[in-house]
Amino acid sequence: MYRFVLRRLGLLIPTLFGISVLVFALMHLVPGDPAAMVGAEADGAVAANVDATAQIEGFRRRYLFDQPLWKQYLHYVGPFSLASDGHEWFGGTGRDPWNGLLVLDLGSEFLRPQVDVGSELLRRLAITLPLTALAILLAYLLSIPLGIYSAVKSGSVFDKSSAAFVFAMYALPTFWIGLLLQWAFGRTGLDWLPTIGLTSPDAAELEGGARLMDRAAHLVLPVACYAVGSLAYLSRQMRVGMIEVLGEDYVRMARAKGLSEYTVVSKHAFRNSLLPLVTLFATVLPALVGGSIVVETVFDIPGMGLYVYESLLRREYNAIMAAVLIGSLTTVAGLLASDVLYAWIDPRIRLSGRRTDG
Amino acid sequence: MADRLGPRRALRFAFVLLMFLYGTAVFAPLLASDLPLTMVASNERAFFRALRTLPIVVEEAEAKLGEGGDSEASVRAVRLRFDELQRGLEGERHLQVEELRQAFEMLVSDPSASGSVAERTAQLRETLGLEGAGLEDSKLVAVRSYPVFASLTPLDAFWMASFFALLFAPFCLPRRAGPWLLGSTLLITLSVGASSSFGRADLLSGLKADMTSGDVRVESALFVPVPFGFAETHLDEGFLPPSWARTEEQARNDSIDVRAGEPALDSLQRHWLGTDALGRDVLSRLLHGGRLSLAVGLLAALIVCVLGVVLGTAAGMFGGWVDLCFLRLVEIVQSFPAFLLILAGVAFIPSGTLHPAITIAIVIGVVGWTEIARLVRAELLRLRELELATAARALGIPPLRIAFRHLLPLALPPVLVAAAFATSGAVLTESAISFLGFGIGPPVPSWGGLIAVERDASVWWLQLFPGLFVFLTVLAFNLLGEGLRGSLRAGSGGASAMGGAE
Repeated sequence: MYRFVLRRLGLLIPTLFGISVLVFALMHLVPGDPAAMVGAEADGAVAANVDATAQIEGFRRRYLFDQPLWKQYLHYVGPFSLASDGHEWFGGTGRDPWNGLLVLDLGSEFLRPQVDVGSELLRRLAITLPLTALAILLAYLLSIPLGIYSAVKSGSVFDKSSAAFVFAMYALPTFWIGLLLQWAFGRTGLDWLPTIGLTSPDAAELEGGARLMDRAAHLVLPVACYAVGSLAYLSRQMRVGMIEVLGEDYVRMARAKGLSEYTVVSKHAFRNSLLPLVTLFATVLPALVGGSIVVETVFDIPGMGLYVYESLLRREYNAIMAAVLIGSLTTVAGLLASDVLYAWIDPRIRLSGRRTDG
Repeated sequence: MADRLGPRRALRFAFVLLMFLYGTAVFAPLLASDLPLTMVASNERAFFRALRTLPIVVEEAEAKLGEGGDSEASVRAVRLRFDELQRGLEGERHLQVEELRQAFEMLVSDPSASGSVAERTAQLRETLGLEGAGLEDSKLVAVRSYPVFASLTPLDAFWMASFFALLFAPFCLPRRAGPWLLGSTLLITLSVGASSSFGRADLLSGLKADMTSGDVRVESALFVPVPFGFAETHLDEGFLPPSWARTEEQARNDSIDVRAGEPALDSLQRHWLGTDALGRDVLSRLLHGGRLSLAVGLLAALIVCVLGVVLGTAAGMFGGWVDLCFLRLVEIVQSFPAFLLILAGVAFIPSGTLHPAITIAIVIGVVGWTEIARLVRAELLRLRELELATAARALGIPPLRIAFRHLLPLALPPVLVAAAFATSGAVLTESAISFLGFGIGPPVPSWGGLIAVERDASVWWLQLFPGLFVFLTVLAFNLLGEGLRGSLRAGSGGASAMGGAE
């Protein structure tokens, strides 16, 4: 088992290297450089033109845009800072020796240098992650029984109608679901739930219980909006997996023993049918990170998605690169976790090395 | 899904839906336009403009002809004005112009006989009565014209023709070739044809305004079903709800001007689906928006397929370190959060370099090729062990030729299924990008962009209908994919080939 995990970890190294190169390239694919953007920004703010040029120059020096690409990349990855006040080994003054991804320094925003991207993203993730976790939990809790029931009653009216329903849900654009939910449950429709933000404006004055209710009410629509897409996907997969398992020999054997259908499904088939859903966790998680941009923009929730959206509008390269990096690391970690989980559950994989997919 | 709905029914349903959506997009100019389909009218403004400027251009042309320089442009300018004048005149006056025209033509063919035309033009101008006589005296002849058809580009026409070709394709083709021929034709024609709509942002002829003001005197005109241009604004009619959901008060707003060819204010046909902030007709924008949204989806799917097939073939056929690099690359690209990467790409590429629709399609393609590439690679790994591949190798056929001529056609069915899903994914992505405001924005209509403009729930019609069209499109392509998967699996050729797809 340890050897399996170690081997998978070893395979991660080239992937992580590739990710860092691509994220770095993303910034440099842009014609011109961010300095010009900052300069344009400064042009508007500062009247004297001299100031703007000086600012651009300072900016370029600070972020090493005047250096060769490989040096910029090394500076970006770290752990040594190659800037003029960087590590002494590389001709710096040694005032600020460490920099880059390896010391978890994601840089600061260009236009607001006092904002550290890393800690800002952490702060935002603290809002996004619980929301995402709730949505995933909800999707799993709904899709497992739905999938099992339609698999067991395969071909019934319930199966057919739920299949059509799920198929239609799968085609719904997330932002549209969000807008329709707002329309139906907000002030324009039933007026049941708040549609914007995470808390009411007067939330600070509320008592403990009331404040909790307020937060919960604000969460209902975004979580529902999140869950719809993955719900459709998961329940489909669950149904397929269950049908496959129900065709296995050991299920036929259990039936032949005269066990009740309930026992067959709940004791024999259920656990094995969950296997595919374990791997799906790895694909659902990053999809939700991407989805958070849309959902949080629609519902105006100050999480990571909204931060990414605002950064895109303001061209905050550091923030966007950091978000892309975090997103891909989540995926890699999710894949690793699901591989390990899979191997842990299914000994055949552990023994043969890797799962043999494409 | 397919096993429950039945592949044939899924395909049929998808076909009908796609033909509907594709049809509305292709025929959008004939369904919604500020131009009339046909009209009998005399264009007084154009006539008198021609009359006013005729002496100037004639003089210029004469001077150029006398010098023996490049006179082609100015001669054409004169001819255009003669055309316009003759169109509005009949009887004796027509002959007068004709006479002058012939004199001018003689001058063109023999520049040495110079002199008289410019003078006679000035005389003609007086006899035709621009000075003083007014419009009543010189009543112009009304001519029949076809403004909508005249505004169509050749690509539009090609597109419309291809629609009918596709409509009847299922009945004319042999059974086996049907699905993929249909798919590829659809892809190519739509993505190529779509480019004709790219440049249309500023397409707003002044014709409707001229008809309303009386500059163009109309005897009879037949308008298209939705007589509103997609960029035509009615500033007094901002945020008007759909006609069937309007209150009495909203329907009777006297400050609104009813332009030529438009239905009355309290009519149901006035803005079926409401208007946006600037009073632009939502239905018209929806119909025209489909052109871009569908085109982006198909173009992106095309790029995804080409990239996926090429890279997957390379990995599958060459193996070794090519394959190793391929697998690493796939893993890296797949670990990126695709939507975020696409958004960043679209947002960072400066809008001046490419049309945003093409940028979006390219970025989606570059990020999304991994699925199909892996599929093609897996198929080729399996297929190249078959006897037909061994036989081809034994005959000395080079590997690339084996791959493209012998093996890829066998791998096509699962690729086609994946292509259908790639299209639906691309349509979804484009709408989300445009919704967030990084893609196609006003005045060019696209479904996502339509929703982005106004997110407030009180103007629900601006969100409901464009979203519905996105939903229907995605549904149609998903159904197409499911149907193809089912029918190809059932068919003899695809049975084994589908093994690698799942």
